[in-house]
Amino acid sequence: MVSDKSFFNQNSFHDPKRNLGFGIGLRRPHFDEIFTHHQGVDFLEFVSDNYMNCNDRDREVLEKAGRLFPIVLHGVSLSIGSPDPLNKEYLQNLEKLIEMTNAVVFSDHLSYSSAFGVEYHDLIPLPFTKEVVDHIVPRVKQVQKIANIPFLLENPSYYVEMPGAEMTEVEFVLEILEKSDCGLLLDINNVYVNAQNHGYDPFEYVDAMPPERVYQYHMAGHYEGEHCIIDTHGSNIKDEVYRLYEHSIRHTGPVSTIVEWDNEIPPLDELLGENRKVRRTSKAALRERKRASA
Amino acid sequence: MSSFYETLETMHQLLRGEKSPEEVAEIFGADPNRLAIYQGFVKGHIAKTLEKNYCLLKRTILPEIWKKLVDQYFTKYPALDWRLNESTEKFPFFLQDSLSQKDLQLNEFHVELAKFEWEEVNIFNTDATIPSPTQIDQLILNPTISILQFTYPIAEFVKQIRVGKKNKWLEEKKFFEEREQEEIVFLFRNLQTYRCNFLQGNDNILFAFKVVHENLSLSQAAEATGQEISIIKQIIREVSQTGLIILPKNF
Ligand SMILES: [Fe+2]
Repeated sequence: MVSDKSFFNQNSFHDPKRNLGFGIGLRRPHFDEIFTHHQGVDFLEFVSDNYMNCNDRDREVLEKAGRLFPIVLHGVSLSIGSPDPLNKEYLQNLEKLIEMTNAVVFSDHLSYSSAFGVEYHDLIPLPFTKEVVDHIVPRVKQVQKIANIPFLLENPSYYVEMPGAEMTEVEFVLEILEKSDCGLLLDINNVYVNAQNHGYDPFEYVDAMPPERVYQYHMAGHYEGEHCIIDTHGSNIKDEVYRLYEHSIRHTGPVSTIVEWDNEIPPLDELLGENRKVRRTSKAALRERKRASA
Repeated sequence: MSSFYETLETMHQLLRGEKSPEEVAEIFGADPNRLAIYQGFVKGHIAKTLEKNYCLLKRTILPEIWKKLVDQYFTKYPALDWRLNESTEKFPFFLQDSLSQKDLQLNEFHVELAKFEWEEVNIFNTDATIPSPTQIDQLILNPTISILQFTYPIAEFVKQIRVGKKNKWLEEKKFFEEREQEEIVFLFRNLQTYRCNFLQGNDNILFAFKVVHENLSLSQAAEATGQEISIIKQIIREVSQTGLIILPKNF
């Protein structure tokens, strides 16, 4: 159970930052169009790593976006699970970016992307062990201190379970969230992909997450590869993922949801169409949730 | 040593290509095909970024040799920066160091072209702010400027290849012919388009650059060259059209 002292307590249900509506991850090909064509977009997500020490064109876009929309930042290079110390320069840049964009929430993944001084530029899975939990918790606390806005960890997709697991993925995620009092960015597509690749029930996973910890959702597309399902962010969101999202919204209530599309980026219209579909799905789930509780 | 550390060390060997997916699969009791996905991703990010940042260079190199270059660069220069672009910064140095490897068939032209392409990436990404004419009260150089010297006709090659038409000069590979005199090329980002421009240093450009760089007044410049002030002004105005120098509004 989440204690009353926790940031993510019963009050987080009423936190407006937890319910920003329906947003999209803004990528470069849509930089010009988004300012004239954004029907249904309630907020924008930027990949933080791409805008640290950015050029004046990017700065202009960020500033303009910040005047029109609430901004959330999402990183990929924090490397929270790395055996190396957290990168001070990276943290300083992140802090500056949060200030510059007036971001309301920032997040990164529960994985690592660098070790022994080398960067992998990819999200590498961690072993589900107590040792890793103890390693990560103080690091999350260190990150939480850099800004006065909530920091969230995202459940990443993974294709290989690291050896030596002492707990399940769910137990691992929950222990870290609770011990570090951190919010969860629940990527529904990742839950689906992992459940298929590792043979567990994605609905049970979602049900195990305390609703008050779930502070943001990601929705994205995946690809059925030869050896497993790959989390590509390069296609439309599959129906099964929508079904899981619907289930999760019934469980958590309304939570900000972002459509991520990073490869084979489609015309903005298609992205907005997906955003509308997410909104419809969420609204329908909420109606059902209301009916069930009546 | 902890098991966490050991696991990450083994993964590191996989991701750096020091151990095969099959070897790691045996240690982890995991599927080698899935481990191979990670190995492929990590190297693939560097390979794709090299391909993007050095796309013209790649066109001058045989595919099998390009692959060798990517493999060797990945091994010799582990990525130390979380920014993917920065992880390809050392590619021109790597090419320079590889000139003696005969099987790679490289010469100084490739090194110079790589330097040019890296500088374009660098300039595009620089966080320098280019002031608008209303924000300055004297002539200034574009703050994103970078000056490179080449012994091969790099600027001409880039121009021709970007035009995209086949021509004799390209077909006969004239660009591989070294020049007697070094060529100066200015690279900078354009204030309006945000694109990277480059200019070959001709007399007017070098002159205008010198006037602004050395902070000479128009009369000092006129005196030094024996030209009318109006002509000096005209040259500076013309060069400013390129974006290399920025004129104050009242110039
Ligand atoms: Fe995600």
